[in-house]
Amino acid sequence: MVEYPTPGDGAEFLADGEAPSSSLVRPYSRTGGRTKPKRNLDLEALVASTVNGREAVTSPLLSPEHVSVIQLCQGTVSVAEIAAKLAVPLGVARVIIADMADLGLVEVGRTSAVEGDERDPAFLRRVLSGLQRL
Amino acid sequence: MASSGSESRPTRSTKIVISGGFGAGKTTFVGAVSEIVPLRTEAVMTQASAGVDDLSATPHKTTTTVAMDFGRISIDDELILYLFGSPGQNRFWFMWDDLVRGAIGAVVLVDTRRLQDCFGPIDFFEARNLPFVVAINAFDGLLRHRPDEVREALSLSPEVPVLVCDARDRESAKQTLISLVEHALRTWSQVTPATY
Repeated sequence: MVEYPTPGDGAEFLADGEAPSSSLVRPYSRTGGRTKPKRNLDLEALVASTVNGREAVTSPLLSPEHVSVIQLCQGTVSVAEIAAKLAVPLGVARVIIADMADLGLVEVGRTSAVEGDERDPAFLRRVLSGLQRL
Repeated sequence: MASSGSESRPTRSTKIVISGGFGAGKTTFVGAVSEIVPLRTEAVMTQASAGVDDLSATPHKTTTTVAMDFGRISIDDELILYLFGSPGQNRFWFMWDDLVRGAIGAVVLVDTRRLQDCFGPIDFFEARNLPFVVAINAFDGLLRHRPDEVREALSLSPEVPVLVCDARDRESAKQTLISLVEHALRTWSQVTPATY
């Protein structure tokens, strides 16, 4: 796993005048005022709901954003698609998704940035074959 | 590794960057080959926040928002390729580290009337050793400059492919992506011969 700095996007959250949430609901409220996710999430990383996530979808403890993400995850979606469909900046989506992954509600798929396979000739041939079949 | 259920679905992903100046045809290109209607996502850079976690102490700040249109292609049952269109202007470069990390390579779309728009992206990709192809978008059916003229004007290395494409045309966009992946394959096969 490569360690890399997270970008500073999505940092406008507190600029909306939103105060940090109360301690009772904070783990389940949007980003709790934080601007950086707890883990590195690539734009293209696929996000899938877990069994726990799907079972928790009716829980009153989940925020609307968490419910929306779990519902979006019924299809194949990436971090970028979740941001686009929730209409939030990428940085905000990253914080929400990272929290959900920590809570076991979603799982994040592997990317080339994680695997380092974008320079692997076998991987590139696989991509080539896929493109040629289009 | 995602193993969320019994259903088989893609769990791995990779990406290609589609770069170029304003109006060079990035979103058109993405839309021509994507299996979804291109989506738009935005990233916000707060300049005062660079390297800072908590913004509460920095009330005075300026923000830059960059919008990226993206699409995707299913490579096989497990793997999805994302195409991220990204503007080339320098003020958007805070996103570029994100964009090139793990990317197979980049397509630099060129509108030959605004050749200077791709100097910045090309310098960036060269500095990062990211394989790229230059694709002259002859979207109006007119090729104002020949590929060899563009190659010379952009001071490109001989190994960088210079192509002509029509960003509106699915087959043309597909062939451009194939040329890029072939170029990446050549690039990295030379680095590690006989590995595979």
